[in-house]
Amino acid sequence: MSNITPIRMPQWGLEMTEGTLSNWHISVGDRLSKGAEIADIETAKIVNALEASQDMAGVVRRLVANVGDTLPVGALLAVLADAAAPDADIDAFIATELGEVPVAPAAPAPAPAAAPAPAAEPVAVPQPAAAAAEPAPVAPAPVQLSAEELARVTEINSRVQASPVALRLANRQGIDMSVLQGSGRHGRVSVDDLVEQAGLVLAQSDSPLPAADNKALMQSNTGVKASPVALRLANRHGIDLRGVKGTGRHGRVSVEDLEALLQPQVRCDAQVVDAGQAEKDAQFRAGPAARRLAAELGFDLSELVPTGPRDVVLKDDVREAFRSALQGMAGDPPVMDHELIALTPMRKAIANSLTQSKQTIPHFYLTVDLRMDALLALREKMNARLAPNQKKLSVNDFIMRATALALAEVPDANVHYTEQGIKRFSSAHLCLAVAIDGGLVTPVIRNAEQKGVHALAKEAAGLAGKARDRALKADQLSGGTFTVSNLGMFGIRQFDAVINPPQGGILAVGSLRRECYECEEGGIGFQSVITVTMSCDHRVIDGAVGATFLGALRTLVENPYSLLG
Amino acid sequence: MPRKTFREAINEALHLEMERDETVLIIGEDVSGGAGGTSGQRDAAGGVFGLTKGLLPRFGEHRVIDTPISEAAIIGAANGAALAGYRPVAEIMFSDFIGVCFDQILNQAAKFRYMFGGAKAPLVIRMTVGAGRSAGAQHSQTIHGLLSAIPGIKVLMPSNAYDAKGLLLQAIRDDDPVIFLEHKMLFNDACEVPDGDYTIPFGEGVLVREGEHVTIVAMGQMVKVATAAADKLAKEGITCDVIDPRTSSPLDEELILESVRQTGRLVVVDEAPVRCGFAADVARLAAEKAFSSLRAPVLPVTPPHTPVPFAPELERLYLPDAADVEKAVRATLAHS
Repeated sequence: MSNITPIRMPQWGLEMTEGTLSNWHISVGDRLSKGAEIADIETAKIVNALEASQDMAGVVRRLVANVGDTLPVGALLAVLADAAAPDADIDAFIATELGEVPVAPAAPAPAPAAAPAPAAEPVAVPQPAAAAAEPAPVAPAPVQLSAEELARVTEINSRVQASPVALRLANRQGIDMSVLQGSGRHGRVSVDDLVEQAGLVLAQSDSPLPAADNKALMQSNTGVKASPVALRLANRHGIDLRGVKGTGRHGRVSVEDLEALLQPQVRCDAQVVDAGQAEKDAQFRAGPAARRLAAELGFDLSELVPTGPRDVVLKDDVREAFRSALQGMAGDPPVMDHELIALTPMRKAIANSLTQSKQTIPHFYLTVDLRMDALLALREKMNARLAPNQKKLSVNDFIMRATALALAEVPDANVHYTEQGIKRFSSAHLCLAVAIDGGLVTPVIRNAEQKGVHALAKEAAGLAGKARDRALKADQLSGGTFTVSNLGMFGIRQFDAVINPPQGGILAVGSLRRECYECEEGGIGFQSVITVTMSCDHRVIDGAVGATFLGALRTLVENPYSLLG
Repeated sequence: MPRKTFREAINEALHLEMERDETVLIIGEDVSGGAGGTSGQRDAAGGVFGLTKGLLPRFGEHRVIDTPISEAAIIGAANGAALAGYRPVAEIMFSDFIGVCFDQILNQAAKFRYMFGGAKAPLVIRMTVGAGRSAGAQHSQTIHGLLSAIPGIKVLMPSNAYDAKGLLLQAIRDDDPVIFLEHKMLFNDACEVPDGDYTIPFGEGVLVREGEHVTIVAMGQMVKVATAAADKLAKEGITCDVIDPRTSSPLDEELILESVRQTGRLVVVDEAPVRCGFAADVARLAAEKAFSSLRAPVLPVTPPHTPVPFAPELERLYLPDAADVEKAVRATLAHS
């Protein structure tokens, strides 16, 4: 077989599973020296040039992939070989590569735990149509390799230049290293190469330590005269009491006798104490021996009860603290320094829902300042015209109104994420977050974009009242498409809210503030500003969509007469 | 495969390379064999450690050059020869004597390529290191750390005969100044060494023992100490990766980091005091590049910060032994 070198779809970053060949920079017959551009590859995130990482032997013999093909990582793109290598060999090589194409599963395999992809079986999917229709999973389900397979891979790997640790890992995981590009010292294959090119998931060795055989020690310690506490301590720390000189009552080994032996272990910890500790400790009066012992045992001088003259901390005070700390470890009943408040059903629901939200929804946040002066002036005029018994309009009422209109204008932000697909709503069913005793609820105003400021204000006030009376009905709590949460009345300038699932976004409204700005003519002016932050579910709302929504919102707020339509 | 001692491996490498390349020269005190020996033959001894035995009759006085007792002259001559296109292998009998010729190494050899238009200076400086023979404070030091701190020279310290031969052959062929450190306590250690030509690349360490729980890094004689401890611990089921980097400059950082990322625990055994030395440098490496993997403080096992004692009892106490390593391994494991 001639010396044939494949060029494969690279993996740029762990998340890259496939790439699209957007342009060839090479043609048949070219020689590739280090740094030569081979092709442009487009991924979900970037377009980048694939370059030769080293001078490559031979010339380009065949371009296997076509421009426009979307291929999985590792798929064969082109073949290099000696100019003299027979075509038959090249054909055979390509055929072998393509012959190993696994049948693509019907549905994209969910790949939660990225299994190490055995590079021995490159997933080369040459048919562009199939590849485009169903992105082939990069990491096939974990393959349990047979003993023979492992032996074969180990045999192949033994001829590959690799770091010893990389070799061990590859042999253990059944990864064929002969197909990998070594980027380590002298071009050897490193562990990083296994991670980047073969999808190896690196984990620290969790091989359990042998159980400490303390039985013999405990038995021999039992024969030594020691205080019961010292005996317990010695057994726990694996100290052989036979070698310890006892200075306690009747010559028995005391805890104090063990302290000297325990200190070296504690000393490691003491060095971890932050650098500010010494400075902090300098404020307290203590003898040098007490200081040193406290530092070694990891005590802060402020924690110690001084018993010396003029409140000087003595060495005995440190020992006393150490002793009581040891007793604390032995399981004395803890002092009750708190009360336990039972979880109400609402608390549990909030905990579950928000934990799930924050853990499963990829949140991102967009913040924008809204200039409020025009809106405030309008609000003042409108409130002045109200009858004395009518409730005044709040800034929040206007922001709700603007939010509803902005959602109608940018329906891509008015969405739910579901397993089946994205639900896009034409109407804004707007939730408002209402703090109530012991938690919060988010009642919904349906078709909010069809309701004027007064109607919204009235409905919001009604819902908030019902929320506080716990009189909301189930249908008033479900079906929202977007939420507005306002903490401005508490003086919170800006905050990031947690998305209320299955909604795609939530708007966090901060407090009204005055700030200076540079006027167009160059002087300094003052304006009223509110900062709002939109939390977006990145699965359904991308940055540009969120920004478009916030842009619409800002235009509406800053041109408040448009809210009156 | 034939078994050869460390001494024989070095002697064989010198023979092979002098045969292969006639620009290779030997320069040093007593390298022709030790004039004035009782046998009356200049080649009888082959230097105080017998490493250059047999070279003189085979390659002649113009290639095996005995010098006066002047280290500055030895290294000065070697520097000049290297710049002139030879491949000198200079010998400083004891690395402790390096002070006398340090300018030739620190300011000359190490700077040639950098300052003189990329000039090649393919010289090798062999010297013995190590304590254990009660040779006193001026004949027992291990200075790989000191030398590795100098950019521009490469520093090798093999732990066995196989590596010694392969590294020495590579060192002579290397176009930069290379310092080749021979531990006195290893001279009589034997292992399988192929007869022919082979080289070991610089900056590639080996796993002398494989394990799961702790990484131990050691060089030279300390590899023996580390493996003794590792073998003892292995009987209890505590297993260690024992890494011999073989060259301290360049250092196989990759291998050390790869292993530490697996084990999360690192013990560095070294025959030089820890301050500003090889052990401190490896600990620095782990702190810098494997911080999040570490499950315990990196523990150095090194002699105290004192000169090497002459009294055999004190020297034994001074040198790290397997029990010290075992204690350190257990201490890192106790740090949960």
